[in-house]
Amino acid sequence: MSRRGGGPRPTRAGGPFAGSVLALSLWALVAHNSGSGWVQALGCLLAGFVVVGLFGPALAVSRLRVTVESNPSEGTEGLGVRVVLGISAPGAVRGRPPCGGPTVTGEGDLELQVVPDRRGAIEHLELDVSSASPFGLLWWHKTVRVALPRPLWVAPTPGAPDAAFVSSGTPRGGLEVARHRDGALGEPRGVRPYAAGDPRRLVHWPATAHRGELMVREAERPDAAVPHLRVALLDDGPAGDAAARRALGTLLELLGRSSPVMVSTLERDGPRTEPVYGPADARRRMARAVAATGR
Amino acid sequence: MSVLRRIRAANAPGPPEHSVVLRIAAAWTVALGIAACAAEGELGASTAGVAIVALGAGSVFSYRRRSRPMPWLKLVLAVVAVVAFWWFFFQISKANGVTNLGAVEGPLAVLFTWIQVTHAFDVPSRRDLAFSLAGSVTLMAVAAAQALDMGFAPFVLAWVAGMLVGLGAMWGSMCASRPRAASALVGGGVLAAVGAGCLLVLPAPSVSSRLVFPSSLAGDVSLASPAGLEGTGGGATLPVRAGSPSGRSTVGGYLGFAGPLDTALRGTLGDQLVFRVRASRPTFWLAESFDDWNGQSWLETAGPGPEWRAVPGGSPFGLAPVAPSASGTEDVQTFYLAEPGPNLIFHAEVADQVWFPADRLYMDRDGDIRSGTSMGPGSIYTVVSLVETPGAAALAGASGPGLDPSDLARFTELPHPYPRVAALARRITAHATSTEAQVLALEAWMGRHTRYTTDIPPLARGADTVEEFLFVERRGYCEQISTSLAVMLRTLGIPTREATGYVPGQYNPITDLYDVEAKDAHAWVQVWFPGYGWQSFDPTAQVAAVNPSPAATIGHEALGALRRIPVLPSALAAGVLAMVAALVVLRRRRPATEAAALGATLERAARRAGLEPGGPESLASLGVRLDAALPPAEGEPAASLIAAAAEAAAFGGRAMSPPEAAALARAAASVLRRARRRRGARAGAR
Repeated sequence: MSRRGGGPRPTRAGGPFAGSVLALSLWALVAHNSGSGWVQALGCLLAGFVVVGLFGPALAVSRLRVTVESNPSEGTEGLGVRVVLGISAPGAVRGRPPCGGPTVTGEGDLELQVVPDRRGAIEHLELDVSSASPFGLLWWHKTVRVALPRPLWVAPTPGAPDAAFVSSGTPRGGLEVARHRDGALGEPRGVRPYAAGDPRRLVHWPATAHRGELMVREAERPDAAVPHLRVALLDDGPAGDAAARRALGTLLELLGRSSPVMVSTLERDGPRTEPVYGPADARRRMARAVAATGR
Repeated sequence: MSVLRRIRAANAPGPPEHSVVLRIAAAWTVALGIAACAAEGELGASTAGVAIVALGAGSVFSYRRRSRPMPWLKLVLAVVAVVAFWWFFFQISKANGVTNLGAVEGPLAVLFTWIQVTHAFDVPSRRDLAFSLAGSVTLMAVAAAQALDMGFAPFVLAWVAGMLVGLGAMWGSMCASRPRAASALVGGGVLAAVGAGCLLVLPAPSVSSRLVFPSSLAGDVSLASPAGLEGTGGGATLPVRAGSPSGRSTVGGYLGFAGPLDTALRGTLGDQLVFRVRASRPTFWLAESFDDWNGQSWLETAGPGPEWRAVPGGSPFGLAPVAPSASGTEDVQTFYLAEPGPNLIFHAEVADQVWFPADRLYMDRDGDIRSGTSMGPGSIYTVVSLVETPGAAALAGASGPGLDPSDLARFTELPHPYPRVAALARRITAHATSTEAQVLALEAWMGRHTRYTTDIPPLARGADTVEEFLFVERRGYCEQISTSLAVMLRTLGIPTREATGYVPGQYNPITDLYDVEAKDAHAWVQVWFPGYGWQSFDPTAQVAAVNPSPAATIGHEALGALRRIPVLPSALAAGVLAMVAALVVLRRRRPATEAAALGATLERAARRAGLEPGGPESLASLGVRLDAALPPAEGEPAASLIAAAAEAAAFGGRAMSPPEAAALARAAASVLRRARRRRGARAGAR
């Protein structure tokens, strides 16, 4: 479903408009003074071509409808993700910040690459839709806000881990690293169905064979101290994004040393404290983390 | 970016264009431009043929090499273009200056053709093809400048179609989609509407006096008697045949263009196109004037000096003024002969200059002009007249130098006193206080009491035309009507003369020309007004004083065409078409069966519920998913049951009874409403 973000506007119209006016004025001058009716009639037809070519796209673009047919649920800031668009008529589409990207042209189902420039949940795309129909003489464009079928969670890029957090667990800058003991970690206590993001090494193959679906091990209690990272973002703006990057860097560093890592974050649905087993899970948690003020 | 890099970037070959439709359209429009130039005489047939063949070969070559452009070819083509420009400037330097458009147009057509044909060998990208499309406009413009009739319309229509297809294909190529017929139709419709609107709004073209007026001769043969009245010998259909020993020459059956104008008989005039005129206003195209009335024929009396004198100089011939009104506004007329004509130079009012490509022109003391050569179809000449158009008040108070006594006698002389005619004229003009009022009163009387017809027997030998017309028949044709007016005016002592020529003809708003046919031949009266000279009066017909606007002309034509439409058959045909269209639309909108309708409703419900119906998914499976997503409340129908019924009807051969179909449709609508409610609830939650 698309929504208007302002009326159609021509793209770089100065040259085409000025050139057309100049050419038609010269034509009219010559035609009128040549005394030739056919030259004048031909000029009138040319005026028709110019009017349709310059203003037709405004109508075409105003009637153009764009929907997002499908999109991935996860992405990473600065990296492109591909969404499938449905466009009702031939035209060109380009993502606008915060999800810019290259232009694609065509009609029907189009694959558009958008590059989210920040972390967080994206539920709408701002798209620049343009058309030069029917003659391709001048492009007109409009901005539409299109709802995504499902939210796109954008993870931050990993920042530099803070070695001090990792080694000492000293609270600083919204991050807290502590040794954690939790009943959910440690000795295996059973199996559960696989969930997206579970590390491959947790897959319990016999149970998987038995049940016919992927099953993973669940730990009963820790056999050793588990690092616990508490992430409290100060805001959902640039500062929060920077903290999330640093947290992700730290988390990945911790995961590299021992797995799992208990992570506490605040999400839209409330506080969440769960172990993170691998980088994918870590990215997902940092994508969903919100600041307390942003709930 | 440096200038060099900018130039390089601008000349870098664009991405190869793969659209065959666009390439064909580009070649088509250019070929049409070349053909149009050939049809209008700007290019020779062989030149045009070679150019079109080369254009096709170049287009094929470009298409095959589109992905492997050859930089050296661009260099060769640039050299060829330079040579073409050099040739063009050489040609026009030989011509009579750049103001002579006629001399420039031929080389211009060759230059444009040359450029387009050479360009066709290097059109790898879309930008190059756009240049070809735009370049075809210049060829069409050169051809249009020479087009005089509606025979150019097919070229224009075919070119517009090619442009529509080409531009549509260009857009399709830009956005990697197939061009849509509906878009092309809408675009074409708007284009036609805008074009027609511009044509209606724009003033009619006029010839700039800064340009050299066109003139050329075709089929010219020096006449044995240069100042004599002759034609070139047309066929039996006329409009001209060689002058008879008595000097009679007929054009389209008209006997007026001769030494004497016999008013006793008139043939049926044909509808052959005699000539076209480009003029700034409609007027009578004057050929001859007569001063001597003998009771049945008009003659030109011989003067004391030579009857016809050669006009000195060459084209443009400057004519000595023959009337005091040798001032006034300039009125330019260019005559394009469509049929062989007599050696008469037609003109409006008082001719001042004649652009005529011959050594000599001849002119008599009353301003009639003849050429020393015959004129065939295609001959062109231009006359610049000085037109004095005084209003009624000015004519009523006309004063100034009158005619000299000998001319006064010549233009008031009658073969006999015409007492009855004089009495009638005096009675009609009893209350008129000026010459103009007298003329108008007589015209009005003739309009009320006489009738125009050519269906009358020839006048008996010796009978007086005016007496017969005014007191016996009171019906006749223009020579008799105008002669009667002239004689009545002469009985009142007003100097008059009989003039013959053509009425303006039908104005064509597309070509901006007056199409003059043989049946437009006419005779009218010219009355002398001191200070203003000879002023034309037409007792037979009224003539508009100004150019009709294109809008008025087209509106009039359209109204006339509408009136000729057979209403009932058209309405029936339109009704049948509307019914067929409605059926087609309904058939497309309505699913073929109740089962399909139920399936469509369930799919809509699934979409609204956020369940994207999969392509290969069965309806039953979709029904199960719908029930899971939208659990039916107590008493509500299950989507899976509806789906099962629909599938049984569609694939199991179990026909639904109408009540069952209606009940299932209601149930499906209920599922749809459920899905709508759920979507509303979801939106509210967000």
